[in-house]
Amino acid sequence: MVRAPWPELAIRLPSMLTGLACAVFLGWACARLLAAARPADPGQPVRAGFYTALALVTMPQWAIVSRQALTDMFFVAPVTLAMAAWALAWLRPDRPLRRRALVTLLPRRLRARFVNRDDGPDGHALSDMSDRPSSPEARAAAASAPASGDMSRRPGAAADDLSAPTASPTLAVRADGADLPRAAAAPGTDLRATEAARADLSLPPADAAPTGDLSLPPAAPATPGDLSLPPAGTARPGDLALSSAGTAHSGDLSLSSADAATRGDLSLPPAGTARPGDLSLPPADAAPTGDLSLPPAAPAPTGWRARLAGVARWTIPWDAAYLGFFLLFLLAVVAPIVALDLHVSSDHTVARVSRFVKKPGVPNFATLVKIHLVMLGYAAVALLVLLRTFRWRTRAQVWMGVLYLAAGVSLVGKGMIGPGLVGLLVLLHLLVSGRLTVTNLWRCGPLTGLLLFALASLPWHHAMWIYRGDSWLNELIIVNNLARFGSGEQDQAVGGFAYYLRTLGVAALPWSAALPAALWAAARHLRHDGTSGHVPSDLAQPTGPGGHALTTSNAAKPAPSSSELWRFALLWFCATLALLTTSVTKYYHYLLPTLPPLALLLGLWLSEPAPAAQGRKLAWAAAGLGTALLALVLRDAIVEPAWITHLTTYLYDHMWRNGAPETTGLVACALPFALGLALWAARRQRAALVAMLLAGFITLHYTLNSYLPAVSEHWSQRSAIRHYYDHRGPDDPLAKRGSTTAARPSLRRARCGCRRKPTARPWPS
Amino acid sequence: MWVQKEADRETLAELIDANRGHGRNVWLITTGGHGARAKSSLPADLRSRTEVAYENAHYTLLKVPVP
Repeated sequence: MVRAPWPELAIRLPSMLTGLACAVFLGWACARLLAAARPADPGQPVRAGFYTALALVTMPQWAIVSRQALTDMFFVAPVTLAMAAWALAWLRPDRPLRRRALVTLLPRRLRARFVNRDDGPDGHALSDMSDRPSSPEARAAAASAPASGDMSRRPGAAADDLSAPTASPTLAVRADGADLPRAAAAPGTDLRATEAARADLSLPPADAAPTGDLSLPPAAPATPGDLSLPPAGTARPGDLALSSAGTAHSGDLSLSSADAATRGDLSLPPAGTARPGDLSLPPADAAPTGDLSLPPAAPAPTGWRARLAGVARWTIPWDAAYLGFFLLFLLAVVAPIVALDLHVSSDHTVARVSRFVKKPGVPNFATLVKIHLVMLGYAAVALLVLLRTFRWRTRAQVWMGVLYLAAGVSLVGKGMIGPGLVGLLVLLHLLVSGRLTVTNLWRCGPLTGLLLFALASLPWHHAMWIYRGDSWLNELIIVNNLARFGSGEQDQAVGGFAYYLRTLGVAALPWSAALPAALWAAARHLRHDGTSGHVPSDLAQPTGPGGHALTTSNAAKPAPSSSELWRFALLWFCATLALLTTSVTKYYHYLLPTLPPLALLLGLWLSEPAPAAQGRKLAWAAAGLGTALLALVLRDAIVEPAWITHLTTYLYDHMWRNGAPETTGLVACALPFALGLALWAARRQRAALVAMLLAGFITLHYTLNSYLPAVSEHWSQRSAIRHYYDHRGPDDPLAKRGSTTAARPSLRRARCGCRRKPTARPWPS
Repeated sequence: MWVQKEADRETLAELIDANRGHGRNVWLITTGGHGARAKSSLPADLRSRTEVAYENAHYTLLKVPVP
């Protein structure tokens, strides 16, 4: 057990995977955001994302925290996810979510039974339920079809997603979703499901769609059985559009030209030659009014079959963004609730709690029942909120949902600092970008969002509160959150303004040396933005949830500027650093939340072209300053070798400064980076990149494979425990006293997990 | 494993007495600073028998043979 790798992997793997996944996601988000800015170099977004992820994973503190399974990783990763989600929601144009009818998610055979076999002559699901319309536009439109059973309607549609021109001749079927199949399925008709499935199927929004959207002019209310024909020659064969207008009635059918029917998509016989039961169309000019009585359709399904068919036509978001949210919802909401409920309901837990002393304040069987009922309540709320999310219409709404979930997870991971940090950054960004209005706050979806936040964060806290009582809550909120932030926990863990700036040097070694150059680039971007008369994209083009609906024209939309991303990264980094600096208790590992925005800044900087010739002096100055900082950091790291270890521990004085190996090897790790800075200033961009990335990887290798194994002999008790297991007798007991946990005041005070005065207590060995 | 948050001589004596007469060893793991004082917390007849089985910069593993 003490030598097998599995226990260690079980402890470390979740943290390692979280750290790695966080870096990958941040890089992906960076690439997507930069791509939305449409840079001149199409490869720049991918490079920026790649460099962002690499910079983050090669920072020593990120690597050590990932490996050492600190709980901070489960706080910082969700915060990073939340802030990346915020940027993805607000720093690029929004678009509608692709949607699919519920019935299309069923297997084909079940689908035919589910939607009523009588609907089509062959039991096909007809056009409004076709699962694969022919074109991407049609698919997008079909997915967003607000059919009669649709769960919600979106306010508008983006032109680039529903791109058919307004004047596009269409075969407009003014029918609600339930009636089209019946009309088309009349016996003998050639308007079969397969043809309908091939037809372009598009739906305008219920209310006014922006210009350029695939929208149909509002028609006068048609009566059932009307068949309206647009002018001849204006229709595109095969185009088929459903109107969502509430005035449409069943059986209304508008066909384009008669010659359109000669195409394979809609086989309509020429007028006068139709057989009984065919959908006969007179020549277009012969029917100026377009009114045409259809033969009576097959009897409409009634009762539960009709209701079932209606439910089957409900559409849900079926988009990569929404599916990602759904996966996160399962992990952050459903899994914890289920796990908690199963735990309190298990025979083992019931038997264990039943053995507790029967006195007030001690959990008993009724406590478990109460937790079980509370979890059922959370599950019900979760179901309602999930149904509510089915009404989401845009991608930005989904990313806001991700933000709320991630903020909730960060609360579970570390406490109130997580959601506090996210909330502060969101408000600051709204303020700085001029978006802080009531309208924009409302567009953040606070009602559904707060429910998502509560579902991700409260179940475990609520269960623990029921189980442990008010003293637990007081210990958690007052002592471990508010008091630690407002007053120092330990005398050795306090510091001034420069505390974290100094720590950043070694935490992000060697990348910290590039900070002056990256900050200079950020300033250059922001200054260029202002002096060129460029209107910040966030003001020129509405972004955020529903932002696409606020535009009135698709023409000449300015792409979001990359300076938006620079500004966001800079704000994220500076605000996080400032917030952590205001905390009275200062542990080195508290710096971790600043590393993702720093990596984002570095990724953007590394993907930039070489500095312009006129800025060469400033570039050399930034490189020189970075090299000087690198030298200072190396000096500190060599003088105080335990400093790197202290990045993830909380005892920094006395004997805890002993035991670290020499760190002179760091000089060799950092030299390529200094060379890279010089190459960058000399405008040798590619060589500079190679040198810097090489330095990052060498430093990572040194940290994980040389430094950490050496210090772990002294900071961990693994070797001592192994020695005991190797040399103990069959019944030799092991006692541990004066542990490091006792040295931490908050843990010394913590009694919530023990009996009232536990001077000694047995643990299973 | 027994975990003692604070040094408690009486509880430690109880642990050792519970293992007397079985030919066992009691193993104590503690921080380096506490390791030096741990011997004085042991019953007088065991102090001379105690040996340091393992130690590093921060932790000490004491082996206490109990007669």
